[in-house]
Amino acid sequence: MLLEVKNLNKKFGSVTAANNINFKMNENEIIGVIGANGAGKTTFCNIITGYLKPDSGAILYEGKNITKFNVQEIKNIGIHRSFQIPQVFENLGVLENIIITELVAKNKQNAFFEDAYSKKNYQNAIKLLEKFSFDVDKFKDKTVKELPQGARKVLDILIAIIGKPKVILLDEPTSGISTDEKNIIMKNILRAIKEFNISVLFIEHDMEIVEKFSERVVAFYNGEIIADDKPSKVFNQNNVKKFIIGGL
Amino acid sequence: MAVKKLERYKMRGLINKDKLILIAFLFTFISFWFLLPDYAINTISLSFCNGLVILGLLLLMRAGLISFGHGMYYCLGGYAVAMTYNFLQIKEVFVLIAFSILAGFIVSFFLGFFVRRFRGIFFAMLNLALSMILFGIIVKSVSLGSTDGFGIKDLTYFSHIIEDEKRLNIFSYLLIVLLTGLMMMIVMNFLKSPSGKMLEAIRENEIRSSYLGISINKQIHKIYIFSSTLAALGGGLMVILIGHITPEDTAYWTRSGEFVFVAILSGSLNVFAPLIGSLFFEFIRSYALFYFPNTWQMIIGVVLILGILYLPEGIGSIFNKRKK
Repeated sequence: MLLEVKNLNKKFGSVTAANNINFKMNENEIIGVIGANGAGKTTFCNIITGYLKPDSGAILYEGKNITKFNVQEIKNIGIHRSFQIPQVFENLGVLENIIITELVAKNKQNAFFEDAYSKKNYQNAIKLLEKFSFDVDKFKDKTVKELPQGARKVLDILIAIIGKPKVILLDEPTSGISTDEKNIIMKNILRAIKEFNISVLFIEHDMEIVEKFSERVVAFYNGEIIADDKPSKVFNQNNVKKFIIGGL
Repeated sequence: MAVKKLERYKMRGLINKDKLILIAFLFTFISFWFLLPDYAINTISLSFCNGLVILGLLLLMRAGLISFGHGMYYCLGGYAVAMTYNFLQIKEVFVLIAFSILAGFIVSFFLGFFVRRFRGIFFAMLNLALSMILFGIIVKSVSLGSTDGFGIKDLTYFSHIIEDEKRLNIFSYLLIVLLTGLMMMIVMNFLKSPSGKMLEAIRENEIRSSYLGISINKQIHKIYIFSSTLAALGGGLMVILIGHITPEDTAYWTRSGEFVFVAILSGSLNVFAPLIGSLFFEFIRSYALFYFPNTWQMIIGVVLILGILYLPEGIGSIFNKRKK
């Protein structure tokens, strides 16, 4: 068992964001998370990554209790994430974003006697971007804030993958991206992720994407998990149809 | 293939001439000793002392922070020199300078644990408050010289005695220019290093930075110590140059405000900007005071407005214009 969540609870005032959540994730699994707005998906993600502390319950990673770990500690043990709104270094170039991330991944935060933007580091950044089918030529002279939404999303995810995590949480990786691009982006991301043997938990509103790319689906409603099974089974459950995807 | 692409992208900054420019910059200022009159050399020396504080502020600005209380460290460095001279009877300049650096380092190390948790205006005002506390302590303490401060007289450079009346001499000028140059070199290296790039990451996006695993508070603490130590060195050199220190000229809020003013005027794009900004400010102030003794503050204000309008990234942007 790679990741296990036991009896997790979280309230914001009178709003219940997580109600007795139990969840397990195995190695190399690709799990889709669905649910209406406010169902508790992002809160779940925030708790696992240490951004929020649960009121009660436990999170185990490879059998170790990580409930009280902070964001950096969670990252250091191998759980990374991307964001619904891309969290990137807006005023820096694409390559500089990658280089800084790689420097941190190589534990060089305090290195003084080397050039951060060296030729070698630029070469590595270009290789990495090419691996993700990122259009380096097109965006070479642009700062991140000048990139289209799709490219920013990919960059955000790529930043999360650097450092070879064991688990990656993708918060709505295709939101704000055109329908044509969605499939291509998901395909590229998941192909690259598979090469690194990373387990993926991705939150998504597009059911076609979830059905196509996930091996297992977890459905949230009002802070609870109401379904957890293969996509075909989850999408046929009455409560999932009623509260999330419609059709009842 | 990647190398070819790299060349095609014409990455900025891979071939860097900054160090050569710095050496030329220092040689130019050293040569001024033989070319310019004493009052100009004195203004240059004072600008370099103050420039070290601005250099320290540049580091904080790189992390998206500003301190309205860096006069505190300028004061600490100056008092470390003056008190070591008066109480320990140490006259060797290099030992006095070491004491000023040590004072800035130790105090910022401990205060850093407190201030590193704050951002934006809270960080700025907290430093102002700390600076005013120091001002209050000194003003109310007779043993610390109160409002009169301390003076120093004869100094020695490698045991070579320089008399009080020759305070601005080739040794003190070289000491100030070369130490400032050394600090510029260290800051320049730091800003290019991975450690320096962490500051940009923190300034750009603290959420992403922490999710990358950057220890934000530790990085801010580190930069606070670095920045404060530079300010203390500036204060120490200033006392060696002027021979006197008072709390009102160093720790009072108007002095810190002046440093912030010059820091904004200079910008944070490169290490030359703080020195050029400081020189520019000192000369403008000297001439404004001379020609418009009652309205010189207005002249300074107009200069800042023009700077903000036409050089929003500071004087440093003149040297950093990017080719389209």
